[in-house]
Amino acid sequence: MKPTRVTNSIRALRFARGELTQAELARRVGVTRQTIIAIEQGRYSPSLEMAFQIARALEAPLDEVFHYPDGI
Amino acid sequence: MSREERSAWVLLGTSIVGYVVYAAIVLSGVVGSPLVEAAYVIPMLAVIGGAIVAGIVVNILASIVAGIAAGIRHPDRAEEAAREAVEPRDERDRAIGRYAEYGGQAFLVAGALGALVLAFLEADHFWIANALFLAFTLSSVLGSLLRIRAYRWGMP
Repeated sequence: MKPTRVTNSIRALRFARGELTQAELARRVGVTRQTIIAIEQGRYSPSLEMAFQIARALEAPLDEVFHYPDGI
Repeated sequence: MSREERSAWVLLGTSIVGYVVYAAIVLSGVVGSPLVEAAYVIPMLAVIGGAIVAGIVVNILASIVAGIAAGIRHPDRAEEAAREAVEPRDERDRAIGRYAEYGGQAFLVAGALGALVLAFLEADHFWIANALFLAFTLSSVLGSLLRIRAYRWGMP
């Protein structure tokens, strides 16, 4: 079951940023590593504020990190 | 497994074991006599107190065992595991906590209404106290299950 329709490219962007680990990304954003894992796997939709923090930590625009399918 | 999920498992276990122990003590004390004559107050208080203490102790022991296991599996990440063991709750933990608490409250409301009806009917104190205790237990069990589900598969 995917509880959210929001998808993301965090994993790809982490690797594109010199193999940034989940632990390091979690530290930069100020959340637990488990939360980063849950977001990457689509089990948790972060708040808008956390989404911006993740995008900033990955040095990428928000819509490059998170995606939402067309239509309602 | 995160610390918060582990604590949900511990609460689930202590709630179920506590209620089973309580029921066994009360039922074993009334063989051949009406249930309402059972001495339930001391067992109930003892089980509530025991479950709280057991929950704290098991949580601490589980954290120690999980830390040692993580250190053995990934010796190079022992420092990281130690830091994760004391991390504060984050946004997701709080959201899951609210979701589980909200779901578990359904049983609390049902139990309170049940106890109210029993009081209106002038039922024995035994039934009123036990309706509330059962509601607390079911609320705790449902809340723990919702937390575990949310940590494992996400929130609906």
